[in-house]
Amino acid sequence: MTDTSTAETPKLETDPYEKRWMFISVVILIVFMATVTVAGFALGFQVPGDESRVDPRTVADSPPWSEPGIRDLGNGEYAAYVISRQYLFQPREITVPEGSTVTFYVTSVDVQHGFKLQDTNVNMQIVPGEVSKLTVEFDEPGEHLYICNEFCGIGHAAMFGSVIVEATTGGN
Amino acid sequence: MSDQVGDVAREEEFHPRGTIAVVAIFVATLILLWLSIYLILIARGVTV
Amino acid sequence: MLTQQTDFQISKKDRQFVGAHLLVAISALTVGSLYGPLQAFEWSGLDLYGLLEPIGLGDYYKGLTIHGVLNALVWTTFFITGFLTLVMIMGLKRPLRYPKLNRVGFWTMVVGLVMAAIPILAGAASVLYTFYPPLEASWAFYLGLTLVVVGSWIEGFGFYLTMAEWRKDNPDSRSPFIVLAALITMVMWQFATLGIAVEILTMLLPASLGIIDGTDPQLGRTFFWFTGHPLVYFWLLPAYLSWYGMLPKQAGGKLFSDSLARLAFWLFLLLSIPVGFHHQFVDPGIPVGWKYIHSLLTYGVAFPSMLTLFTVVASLEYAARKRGGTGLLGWIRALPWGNPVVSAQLLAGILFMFGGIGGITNASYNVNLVIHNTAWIPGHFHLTVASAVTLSFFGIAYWLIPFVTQKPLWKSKWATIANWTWFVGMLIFSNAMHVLGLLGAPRRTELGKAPYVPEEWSGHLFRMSFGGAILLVGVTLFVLIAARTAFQRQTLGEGESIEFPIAESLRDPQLTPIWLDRFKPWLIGTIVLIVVAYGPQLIEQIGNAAYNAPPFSP
Repeated sequence: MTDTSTAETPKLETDPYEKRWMFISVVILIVFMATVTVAGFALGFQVPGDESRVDPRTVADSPPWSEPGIRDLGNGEYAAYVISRQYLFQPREITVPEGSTVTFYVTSVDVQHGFKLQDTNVNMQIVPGEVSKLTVEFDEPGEHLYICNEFCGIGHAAMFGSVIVEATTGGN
Repeated sequence: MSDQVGDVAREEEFHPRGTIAVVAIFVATLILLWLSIYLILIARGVTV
Repeated sequence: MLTQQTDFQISKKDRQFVGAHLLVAISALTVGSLYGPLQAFEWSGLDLYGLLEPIGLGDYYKGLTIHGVLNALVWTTFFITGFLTLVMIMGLKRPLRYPKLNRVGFWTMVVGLVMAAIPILAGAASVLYTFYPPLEASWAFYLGLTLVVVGSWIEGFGFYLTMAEWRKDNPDSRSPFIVLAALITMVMWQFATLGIAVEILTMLLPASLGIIDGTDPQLGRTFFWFTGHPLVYFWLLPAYLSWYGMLPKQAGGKLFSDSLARLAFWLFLLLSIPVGFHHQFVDPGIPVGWKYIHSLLTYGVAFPSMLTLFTVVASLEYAARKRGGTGLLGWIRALPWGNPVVSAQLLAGILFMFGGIGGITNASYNVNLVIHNTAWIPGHFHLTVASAVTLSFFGIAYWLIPFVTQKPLWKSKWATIANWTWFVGMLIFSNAMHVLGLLGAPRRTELGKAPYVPEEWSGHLFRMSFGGAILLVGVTLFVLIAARTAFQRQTLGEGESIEFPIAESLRDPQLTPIWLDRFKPWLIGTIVLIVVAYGPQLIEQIGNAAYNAPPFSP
């Protein structure tokens, strides 16, 4: 080894191949992030945000949560208020007509739960004291299960419900 | 292989061509797999 | 300045001290791993928990807690602190400055482990290794975990004091890369664990003792994930240390770039922590904007891993070409695959490429809607902590155990088989888990009892449990080799010794810029970035905190 510790400070030297790789990785990451950003903020593939707070001890006693279930807001729009508790969802079943837009408001009266509506992008952490909100469009008739996907205790595996999307009369 | 070449000379000459090939395979896999999951997101519909 | 080239010999006491870490680590892995296949079999319809019922260990979620705590927290933390202790001693070629301090740290960890283990085994802490409030565990569980973390901090302080002493004697030398890597890992860990410390001390412990009536679960999650993601890097960086600083030597080559290896570690210090919201993308109590910012920063932390891919592969290519390897990809065959120390790390690296791809997917903001809390997630982290980390640690153990016990590795060929078994098992298992997640299967669920499992999942569930069975064979082989090596009568022959692997750099490390060898600018940057990325949202959540969620038992 030679004595290089004194005098001039060495500069960062990079292999030309590696330099190119660093550039390419940054480009890949930027392109991915841009794609995601467009989907999120322009096309409506959005995650839940900061909705509202509730008191988990009393939330089940006052409206709208005292009557969990679906509300028809007109124009094909619905609001679904869902309570999660060890080890069931209230309501267990929600029925909406084909072509409806449903906004889910979900909260918990005990521990943390999950709310994943199968075959849609609705997937929310349910936290006591918070309201999780996400909207989805049901374009086709069928059944979507919503299952609890956060460990909530011994009976967790049995916790699920279903959304039934009914075909509108007159058929397709 | 010319194993007789001195270490120093070899170090000066070493260009990691094979590494480029490996990272190229990685990038192709990354784009393919990532895109397929992204398309699942798109297929499952909007959430707004 | 002359580099000291005296033949430093580590004392027997210090070897035993490192060995004690390994003993706890591998014991934890042994017990924890037994639950893995049980879970996998349960999912595919074969419930074997009845067999454990007579000894009170037949509960699925108690088992899942044991699996997570022992494998993800205990095996890793004890292996890492032991391994890094040896890296400090051998890297600096001097004993620890205050060996007693490090012993206090180790025993604090052991006491904490015992204290946490009792309530877990008693079924009073079946809260899984994330222990989200308001699920309640015994106070002893929280206090025990706290002590494990505090013990690891104390060992870290011992490292810093040893380094300070070395720096006094060597003011102008670049610190050895592996030592810098060990220190960065520890510093990152100490910053990161502040989140969990605050969560436990201000919320979980007081609530479990009945001092406060309830907790704020959303705030708890924010504290937890402040620690939760860098925790992954605490596991990963020691494996990176070995890939950069040891594997090139073990493969017969040199480290391709000392500078970029250091740069990658500094970037991990900088970016590991301010990314926690990417675990909370679908949380209710956090604004979309902050989630997006953390998504960007998580993409940032992918960069040093991509840098690592290049530097490590280039170092391996250099080794392979020196060994006579040719061709664009043919050189890969020239690597010493017959050496289990090397093959473990190579296979770990291959699995981690898939882990990295999955990680970028998880980090992609709204794409997280597809996979959050599904089987994809355990599928993913079995490629990181259970592959990149655990399989690399297998490889490290194959020289580390002989080094600390002065006994030869027992049946090197079997070690190679163990590596491949783990690799194949993990490929099958994790692929099936990823697919199940995409189909909507939830994670951490006793799925065999779930009424909603569609027929569509069953083939993948079977594949997953098949992979789990192979993994059980792999880990059994590893434990057998580790135990037989450590407890055999035979010692190393006269004149034989186990070399401590330190990879030389292609370029003289003294040519590495000084700013890549100084803590101050990076520490300042780390603090600034944490304050910017977490400060406003933390102030918001702490300001509006409502400790009104009463505890519930699981």
